[in-house]
Amino acid sequence: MEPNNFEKDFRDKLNQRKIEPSEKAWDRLDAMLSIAEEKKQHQKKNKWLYIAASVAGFLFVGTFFFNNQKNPVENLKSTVVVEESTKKDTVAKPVLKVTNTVKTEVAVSQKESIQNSNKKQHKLNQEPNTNLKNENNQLAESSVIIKNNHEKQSINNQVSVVENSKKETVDQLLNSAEKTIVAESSSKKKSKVKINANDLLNQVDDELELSFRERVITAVNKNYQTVKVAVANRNQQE
Amino acid sequence: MKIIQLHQEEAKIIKLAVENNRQAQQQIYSKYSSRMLSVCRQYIKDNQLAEDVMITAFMKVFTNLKNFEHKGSFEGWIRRIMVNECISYLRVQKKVKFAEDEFFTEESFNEIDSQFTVEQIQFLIDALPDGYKMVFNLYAIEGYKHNEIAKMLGINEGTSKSQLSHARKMLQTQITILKKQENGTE
Repeated sequence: MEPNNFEKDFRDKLNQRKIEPSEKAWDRLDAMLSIAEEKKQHQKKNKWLYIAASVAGFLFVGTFFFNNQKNPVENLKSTVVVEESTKKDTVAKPVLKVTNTVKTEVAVSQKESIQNSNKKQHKLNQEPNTNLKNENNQLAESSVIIKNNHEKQSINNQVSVVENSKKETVDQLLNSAEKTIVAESSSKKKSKVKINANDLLNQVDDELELSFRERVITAVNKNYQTVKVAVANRNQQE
Repeated sequence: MKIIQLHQEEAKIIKLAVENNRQAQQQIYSKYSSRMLSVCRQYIKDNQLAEDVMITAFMKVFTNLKNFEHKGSFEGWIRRIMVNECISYLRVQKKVKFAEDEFFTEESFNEIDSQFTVEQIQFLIDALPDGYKMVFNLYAIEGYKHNEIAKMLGINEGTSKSQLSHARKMLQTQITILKKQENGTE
């Protein structure tokens, strides 16, 4: 299948032929080339945008994922802490009352005038103390020392006041005592709870671990019991 | 020496064109466009369509210019891109299909000695169906082999051969008619 003579002639003549394209042809090609260049530049810019966006996206997803893993544990802890603290509150209140009743006995023997001045002193001393406690644990310790001083003072007062108390009527004493109880309990409740905050947290943490373990054990036990009962029942039926 | 100088100059221009230097690109375009439009015209009858295909082929030339390895001739490289663009135009736009017959005769028409003008030759080629035209152009004008044509067009080698023999037969009858007309007028 060699090329024929006429094919050679065709080839020679066609290869020598030149057809001039229209003048618009270059303009069109020029426009197409500039569009292609713009697109390329855009693509380069977009490349960096895409890279930056994907990195940001990965970071976001990563942090979200890690937070998700941590959260359930934290949530468990926090909810349990609230429950325990409420329980503690309920338990703590009666204890406080007991201390207060003890203090009423002390207060019964106090004079009104002295009591009033004492109250003022108490309040004055305690208010800054509570503020300080919030700020620093070290200051809290110092306030405890101050409180101890207060108690000593009150004991001293008792000794001095007992002599004068005989003159007072029982009713007056009772009334004044009630007032002091109300004042002291209202002011001391707050302080007592706050002093115990760290201890409470520690206790709760210990109890939380225990309770979690216990829960697992009880759950396993329950399931085991139900299965056991079911099997036993089936055996009986058969 | 002149040839070497020319080659070096062309290499410089190509380098500039790769860097999207519009002047260098225009230089290449104006140097080859007329010959390349002629190539496209072999395959596509309509002048305007042939020009459109040439422009898209030149776009491909410039976007792939960095892949040119300076091994063969630059014109040959551009020409291949043109031919491929014409083929893909005919196959995609005009949906040319090839009859998968494999009947071909190995007749030779050496006795035919054409003395036609280029316009007459183009007229004869234009008269061929697109399938015949493609194979004839690729084989007789571009000098591709049947296995190459089969790959380019996605057909069997036998189909390529049969298409060529059909095209030759058709051309032969057309040539004899033309000759008779010419003799008649003389």
